[in-house]
Amino acid sequence: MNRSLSPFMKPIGKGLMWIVTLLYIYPILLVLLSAVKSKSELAMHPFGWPKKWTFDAFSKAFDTMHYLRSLLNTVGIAAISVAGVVLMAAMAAYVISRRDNRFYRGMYLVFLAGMIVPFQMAMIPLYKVLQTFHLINTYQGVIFIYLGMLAPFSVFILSGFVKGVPKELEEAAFVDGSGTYKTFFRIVLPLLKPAVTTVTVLNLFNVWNDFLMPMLYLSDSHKSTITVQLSAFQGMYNNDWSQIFAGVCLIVVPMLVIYLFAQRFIISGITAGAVKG
Amino acid sequence: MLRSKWSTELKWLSFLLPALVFYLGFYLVPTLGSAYYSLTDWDGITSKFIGFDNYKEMFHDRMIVTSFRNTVMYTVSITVLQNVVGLLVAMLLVRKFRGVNVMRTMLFMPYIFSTLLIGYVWGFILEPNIGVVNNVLDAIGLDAWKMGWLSDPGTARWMIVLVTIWQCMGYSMVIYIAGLQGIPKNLYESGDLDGAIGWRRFVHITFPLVAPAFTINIVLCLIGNLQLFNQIFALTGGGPGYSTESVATMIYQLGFGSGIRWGYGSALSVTLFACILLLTTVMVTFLRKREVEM
Repeated sequence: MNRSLSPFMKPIGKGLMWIVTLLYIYPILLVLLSAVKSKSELAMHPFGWPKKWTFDAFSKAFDTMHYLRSLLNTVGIAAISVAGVVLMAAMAAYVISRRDNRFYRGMYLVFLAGMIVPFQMAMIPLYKVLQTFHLINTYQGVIFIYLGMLAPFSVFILSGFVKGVPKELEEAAFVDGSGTYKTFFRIVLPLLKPAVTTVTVLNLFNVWNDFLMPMLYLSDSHKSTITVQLSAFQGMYNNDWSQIFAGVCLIVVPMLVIYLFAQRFIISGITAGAVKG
Repeated sequence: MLRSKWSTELKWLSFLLPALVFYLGFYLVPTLGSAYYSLTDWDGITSKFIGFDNYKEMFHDRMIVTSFRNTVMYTVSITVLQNVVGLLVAMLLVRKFRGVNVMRTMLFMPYIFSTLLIGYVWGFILEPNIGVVNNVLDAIGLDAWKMGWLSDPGTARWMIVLVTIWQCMGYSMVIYIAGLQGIPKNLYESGDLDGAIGWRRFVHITFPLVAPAFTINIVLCLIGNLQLFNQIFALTGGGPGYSTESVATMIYQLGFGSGIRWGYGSALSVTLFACILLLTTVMVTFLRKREVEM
């Protein structure tokens, strides 16, 4: 590929890309530097290096967001929903790609349909459903919706990967008398580990970053998630930028760590359908 | 024998059922319920069947018409720009050089962050008094260009477009890079012999061969941007007035915002879904056919 640009273009292209990269580094730097300035310093000197480093904004954001509580809520909801949906979707993806008959092909399309349903279309009826089952303002309600909402994407990605797992291993296991469940959990699931990691991470980002759904269905402030806490706070004190940015840092850091470690899996999940089309 | 065949089938079915139950019960079926609600004047408490009145009203509702026009503007401009920039960046970053991995990591990074938070950060950058943009313009003597970037409707719409591209461009880039890496090197070598260099190389070799990546990027952009919500919610909240509302934010307004009109909101969401379904089907068919022809 190094011949796709003429030698004259190469340095220009590189320089251009460093400029573009700066456009991505700057906002992140701005958040960090603003969070360690005091409110008054940020108002007077919004740019540049902080004259005096202070972590007041962090401790204030920590309190206003009820950070530990809302972090625990978010982690709990995310862990249960993502683990649940990935396990169920892996099972469904397995049977969909192994039982190649009309029923399961139809089921695949049913799951696929969910990928183009806008959440705004589900928003109003889901409220009604949760109300009917007395699940408004409960963790279970939100978790159940995530289990349904994240299923289409998870089934789509995982069934693509199941097709790439050779059947011979399972057949050998069957011959040895291993049952369907045992074969799945002992043979297939371990082989799907990279795909499962990918789907887990992508779903985790989805749940972590979602705010509309928990905002509507989990409005009780003891139960709400960190992003909802920040948005409530932003709505009330929208000029205390250093505190808002401290809150942004507190939300983003866990995901950033995961991103830097699991980048390979994220990229492989995103490009899974892209190259073969 | 027949019984054991049935029990095998049931065993297989038990793999499908858990996911299917939650998906149907807590997502797809309620969603389809919108089709019924859209024919009522449901306001959360009382509900009466009113036929297609909601749909008729939509065409005369200036807010709704504006939201559709905005959605078209957002979808077209984001899809086009994001793919042009994404492909260009991918062509530059598919090569190996010092710093390329840092660049890829940085450019993709905003995609994993909450759009809401990104909206707050850009809201600060575009803020008229302490925002970076206006202050930089001031410093370089272009203070005539200073403005309220999010308070003028026309500019605010473009800011929503740009912030969305800033966040999602890395996603398109990653898909294009994977597509470009799949192009066999010898095609370029034989292209060199035939004089396919520069622009002609791009038109005759590169672009046709990233067609699958192009298809998926266009389709994902369309699906995503037709339901554009978070960026608007965080940057302008639909304002000033209702000038930057999209269909998705309008549905929110009707459902949980200023006025609770769930029947009317459902009619709007059914219309949005129909548009997404139609457009996705048409585009997938068209782009797949094009892939084969190229």
